Amino acid sequence: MELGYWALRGRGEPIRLLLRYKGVEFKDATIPVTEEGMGMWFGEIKENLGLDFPNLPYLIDGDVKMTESLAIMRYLGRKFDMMPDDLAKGDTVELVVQAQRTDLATLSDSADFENLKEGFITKLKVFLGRFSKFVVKPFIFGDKVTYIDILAYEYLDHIRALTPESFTGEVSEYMQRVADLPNIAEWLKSDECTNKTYTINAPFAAGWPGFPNKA
Amino acid sequence: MVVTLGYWGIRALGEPARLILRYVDADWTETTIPPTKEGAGMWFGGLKQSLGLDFPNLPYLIDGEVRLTESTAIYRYLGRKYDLMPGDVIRGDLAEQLVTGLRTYITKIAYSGEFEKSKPRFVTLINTRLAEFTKFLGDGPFLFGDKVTYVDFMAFEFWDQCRRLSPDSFEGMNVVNGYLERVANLPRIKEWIESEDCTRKTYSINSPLCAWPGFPEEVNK
Repeated sequence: MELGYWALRGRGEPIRLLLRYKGVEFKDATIPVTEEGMGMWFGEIKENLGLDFPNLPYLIDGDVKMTESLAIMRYLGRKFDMMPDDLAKGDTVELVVQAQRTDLATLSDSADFENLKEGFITKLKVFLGRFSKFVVKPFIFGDKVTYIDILAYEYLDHIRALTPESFTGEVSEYMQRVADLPNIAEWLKSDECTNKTYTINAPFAAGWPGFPNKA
Repeated sequence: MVVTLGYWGIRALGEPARLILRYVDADWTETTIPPTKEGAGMWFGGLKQSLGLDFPNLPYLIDGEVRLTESTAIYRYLGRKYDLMPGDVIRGDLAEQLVTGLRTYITKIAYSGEFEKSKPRFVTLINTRLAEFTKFLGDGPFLFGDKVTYVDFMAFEFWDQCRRLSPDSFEGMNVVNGYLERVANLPRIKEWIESEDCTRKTYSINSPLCAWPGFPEEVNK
């Protein structure tokens, strides 16, 4: 299996995290977020992988060639038996989590970041309240870890880097339960963990790149 | 059991659900929220929190015990309920996300503060997508061959919204235009498009207050 994405967390990291959780051997075809890397992607690689809709992230698994981060997560969710039993509820929470990450991206790309941040946090708090109520515990759908838990953990961690004070109580406890999962716990503690080196967004994001904290 | 759809009186993210419900001749009703101050007052003032929704928002769908929000979750639910799912689930999810992306582009520029500045980038993206979809469609007749799927109704609606914003992009795009015409000619869709009440004649695409409302065209038919 081959996963291609920029050398940052963004939309690719939930996929990397899921593959690590399942202990899957994969080629991490990471593209440096540099002029050289971008030249390589746009100039040579992008149109030559046989993708219907060339973009990053991409996943190649034998004959399957995918783009679109959510479509990839759903593919892996089905492949590794990480689907929720209630598909309708699963779809709703998958998409609200995605929407929160998209709102973070919009905020992060904005030169008006400082003025917009408070409004973002106000909306976030409403979402976190609803999300906490929705989580059955220990995971979103009870005992079974689904692809949506991996998606939610990673994206909530991105948002937490921006506004750590917003993450208390039940949400914080939920995130810790995911972080404590086998393989994930080891990854997060390892020297190689790219959370220590990757930005959350593009390093040149106009508002908030999300540089890693010096741990 | 009557299915209830709730949305603003605009096309935007509600219309694909309306198209699906009409196509399958479902027993359905709509709670339409006028896209006005009064309507917003009604929604935010009480209705929003009173429907038992996990993540209250518009559009919403209530079908017996099932109470959903998030437009794509609603389209998927209707797709499963009414046997409109792609046979190839992997390509189905991929196409669904690409088509969702079309609407995301429109939302971004219509509601941003910089419509004129953003428009050239939008046109470039649409042109790229049109070329990609031309290859994906192949001979069709629909996105996934003979079977009409929920993704076809998303594509039908969102491509039309794109066409309204960048009509020149669709010049000579025979494969995509032919496909859109085939969807427009489906039973119950054809009658709907030709009817006086068709929302293409009566609803704006986006909020009437945003940078690009997309008010109905003059229809000369």
